[in-house]
Amino acid sequence: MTIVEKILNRINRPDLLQVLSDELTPSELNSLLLEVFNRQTGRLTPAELLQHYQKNRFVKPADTDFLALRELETKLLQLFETFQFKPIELSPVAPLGSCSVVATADQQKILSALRGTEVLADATNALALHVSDLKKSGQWKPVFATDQLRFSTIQRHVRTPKVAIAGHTQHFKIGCLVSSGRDTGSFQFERESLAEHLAVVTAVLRDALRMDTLRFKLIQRSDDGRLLEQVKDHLLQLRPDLVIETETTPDRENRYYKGLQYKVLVTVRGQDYEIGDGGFVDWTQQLLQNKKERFLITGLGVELLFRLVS
Amino acid sequence: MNKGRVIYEDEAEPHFRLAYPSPALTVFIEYYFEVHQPATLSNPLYLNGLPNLSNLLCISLNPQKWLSINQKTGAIKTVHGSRLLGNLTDLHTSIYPGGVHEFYVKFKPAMLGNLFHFSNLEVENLNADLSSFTRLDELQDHLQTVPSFGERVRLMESVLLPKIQRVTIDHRQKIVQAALQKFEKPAINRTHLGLICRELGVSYPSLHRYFNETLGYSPKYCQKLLRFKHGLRLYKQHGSRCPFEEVGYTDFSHFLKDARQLTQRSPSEL
Repeated sequence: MTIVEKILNRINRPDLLQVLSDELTPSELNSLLLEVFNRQTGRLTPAELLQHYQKNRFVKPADTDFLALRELETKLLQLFETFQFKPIELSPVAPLGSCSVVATADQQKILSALRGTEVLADATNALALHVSDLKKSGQWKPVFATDQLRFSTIQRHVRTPKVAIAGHTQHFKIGCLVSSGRDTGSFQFERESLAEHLAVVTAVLRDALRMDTLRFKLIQRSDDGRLLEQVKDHLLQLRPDLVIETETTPDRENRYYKGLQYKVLVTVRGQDYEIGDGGFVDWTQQLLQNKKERFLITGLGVELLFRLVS
Repeated sequence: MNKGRVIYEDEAEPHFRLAYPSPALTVFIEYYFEVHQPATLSNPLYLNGLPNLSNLLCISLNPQKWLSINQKTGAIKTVHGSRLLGNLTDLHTSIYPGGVHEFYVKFKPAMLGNLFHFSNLEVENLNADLSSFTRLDELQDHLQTVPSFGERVRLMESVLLPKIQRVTIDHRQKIVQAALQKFEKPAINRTHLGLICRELGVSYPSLHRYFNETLGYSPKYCQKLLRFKHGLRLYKQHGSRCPFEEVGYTDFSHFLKDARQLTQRSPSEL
């Protein structure tokens, strides 16, 4: 029996869940829950509030040097902007379902909130929504078929699964890059956008932060290996200075990325770290209902990076 | 590994143009040059600036932003537009993701300071917006519209000439410039500072004082910078077997040691 079923049995309201989720509109449910929370907080004393703060693993501050981390963030955003990835500051909340509706993400791992929102769990999903909105509303129109929209951000993400690794926290900063374009044939978008993301990551890690051990691993995420081959050939020809590894038969299945995933690896003080991750996703295809849409995302662990370079 | 490269004046570069000043300006200006090289976001252009004594006026002919990284301190600066580039004590790498099209005036050491009234030390490793020093908005716009490098040189000369004619150069500066010239073009076995002092008719303490007052650095340090520039050019042309003694090094190891000390890199990485 699940926790929810146990609760419903205890209060003898076995159909409550169905009523709340199926019979009420989102707006009605929101009003109802707001009233519930209003009553609950009305009963709460300051002493209890402090107890909640002490027990709740989501609400504690980060244990980083705030100003030094900010300095690094500013540096990174400046670099992103120089490479024409326009930095934007996102809202700390995104529409409910931002991650789970378009990606293989479990809503249970996301802090769902009221008023049809969830706490930001993946900024690249929020950027996909922003890009799709710009395109759908006509606020951005490409001049040429190959034109791309590029955005970057650094956001604090909150995810609910309890962290098992020492040093990891429930909330953490991720630097994100996204490129949005259209399929123009011959994997042109894929080749060019991935080379651009790798160029930015190289400028950040190798050139600005002097991580000479930087290397990239391209991982095939489809049965057809043509995308990996074409992208790899393009990168090797364009950037012989980059260290690129490939994996055509990955150990673990991953349905999050479509066609190609890539990892950013560095070795610091003899230990290997996966400092970044990215790949092609079909989120804008789903949001805009257009199979020609292409979207590349990259996430860099800014807080981990900060710990490694400080 | 791509860590940038140094461009030399005599390189047959398709994207590099150079012109020397007219006789009236030779005391102040070393030369004019223009770098016009395309690049893409996925394959940006990397250029290295060695430690040097020169101050540069950089007129941007391309609105793209670029990055300047001080390789010693790790300081990163995102820059765009016309700049005043101070003399460098550290290796700087510039990364141009959108390509570069810039027109430069390379002033002889300390001479730009004479014009704008600053000392060399004040602009050490500086990469500042040119508008903080002088109002050249119209000139910049004009330079951006003229079609050729030659016309840009003529235009710049017509602007600089009246300004420079009002500046006087004192005895100390003349001696320093003469010494630097000897450092620039060293004759074989004539690189010892004692010999150079004798040729210039000054004592070493006087030369030391003149250098400190004019440039903020000792003659020995300045000689080291210029010697390294020549050494690196020789290395790039001939590799490690070239006659480093001709530019004042004891041997290749001596040159290697200077490379590490001045740039924290081996010559092959420059």
